[in-house]
Amino acid sequence: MAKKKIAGIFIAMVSAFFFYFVSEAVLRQAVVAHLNPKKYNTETVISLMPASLRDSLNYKFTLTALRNAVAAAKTPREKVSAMASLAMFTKDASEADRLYSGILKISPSLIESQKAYINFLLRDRNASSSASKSKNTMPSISLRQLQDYMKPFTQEQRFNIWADAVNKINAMKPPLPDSEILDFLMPILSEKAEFRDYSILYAEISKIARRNGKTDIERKADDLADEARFCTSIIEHLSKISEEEYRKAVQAEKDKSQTKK
Amino acid sequence: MFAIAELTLRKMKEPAFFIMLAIALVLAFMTSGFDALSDQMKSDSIFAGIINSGRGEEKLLTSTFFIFGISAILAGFLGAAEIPRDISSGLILLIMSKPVKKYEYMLGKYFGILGVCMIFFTFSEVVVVVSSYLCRGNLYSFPCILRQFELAAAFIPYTAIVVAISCFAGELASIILTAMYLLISLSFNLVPILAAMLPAGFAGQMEKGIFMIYYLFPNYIYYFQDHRIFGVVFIFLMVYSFAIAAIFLCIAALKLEIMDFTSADS
Repeated sequence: MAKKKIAGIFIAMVSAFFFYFVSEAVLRQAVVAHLNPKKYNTETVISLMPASLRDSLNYKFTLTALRNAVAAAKTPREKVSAMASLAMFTKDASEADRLYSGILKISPSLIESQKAYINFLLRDRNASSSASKSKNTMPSISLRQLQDYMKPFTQEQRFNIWADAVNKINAMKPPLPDSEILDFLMPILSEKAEFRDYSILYAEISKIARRNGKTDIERKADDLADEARFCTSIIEHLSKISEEEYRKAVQAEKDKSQTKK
Repeated sequence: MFAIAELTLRKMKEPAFFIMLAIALVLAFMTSGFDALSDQMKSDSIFAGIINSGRGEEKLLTSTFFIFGISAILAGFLGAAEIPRDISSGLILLIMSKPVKKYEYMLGKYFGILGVCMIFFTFSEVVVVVSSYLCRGNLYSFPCILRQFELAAAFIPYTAIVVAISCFAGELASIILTAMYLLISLSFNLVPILAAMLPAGFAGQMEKGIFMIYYLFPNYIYYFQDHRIFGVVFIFLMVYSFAIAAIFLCIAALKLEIMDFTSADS
């Protein structure tokens, strides 16, 4: 009899647990769904923590959000973009290398892959690389490969790649021979700049050419730099595009409301 | 069962109950003019966001919050002492000699304590409504009064927890354990809300561990959340309350079933 009673109590308890979990899930959703996400978000949680923990928590929250974005990405472009964002954010050099290497495997021709190219640029000669341990398993991008990668892009898209590449080359120890750098930068001289920003790159070419006594290259670079100074900047160009897009969106909204009337 | 409940309800005749009731009524009178609870909070706090999400038209009053607190203290003191006192005094042996089953005794105690709490809460709420009308000419609407009484649903699981704990420990230990359990419950109440604000999978395995501990405690925040009167949230709130009460009453029933009331250490 007592055993039956105890069994009955257990059955009642299991059923109660079922209702407990179901109702708890519904109530939790009810609370969470009605919290304003703009007002209550990760920032709110961080603000509740001691000041000493905030920076590290902020880093971990962002890292998790970026990892989730990589996992949630569907198209190769989304995936590459999310992986690049994560690789740029993470402090773990080996994780960044793994991500960049993955980017080059998934879609090496996308503009979003540019950071991967820069990361592995001349990796095989750069002994002081942060990920020297995994040097053998990671790819190395030659200057020629980088030039080939950039070819299909517009001048506006190419600028950042050129600038990042120049920065990386200038930071290399031992330094790259000037002749190699000049060879790499020569394609810039072969076209007229559409943006003011390119004047920096022309100045860089001019500087290297002067150092090596190549006056014709120096003169051409200076001339192009002078011309580039009268061009619009990339930021101005982009803001003009976004302004136009905004104007179009507003007009479309107006048209829509007028047709409704 | 009802005879046992009636026995517990007779505790209301004790002076201690009247003192507590007097304190509660004075407090109810003093706080009857306060604004809604959500107006007392910092608007950017998470708790304020929960109790004032804009769903329900009727708000919880600050006075109700105070009354709820005092009623919970009363339930804690009364409920935690009832069963251990019966055991230590040998009264339980007398009761068990009658045609009363152990679980009926336990349910009788539960409903008795719950009844005391509800009566206490109702008296205090009446004082709030009447004093608000007499002193300020502000008559609360019927839905508003109903919203205040919805909070009393929290006593359903709370009383069961108190009864369950009192089956495992002595008078004083039960009171201390109940208070500790309540405090730990409150500290875990924000866990699911904070977890929802963080990126998914942030804490990994630790999150699962924290949630396992979280499920051991009732979440009282759900009773304070802004919702429509007698809407879906209220229905699930009742299911939640009765489910927790059932779990703890089952634990209490199991303990009483295997307990030997004649042994000294029981």
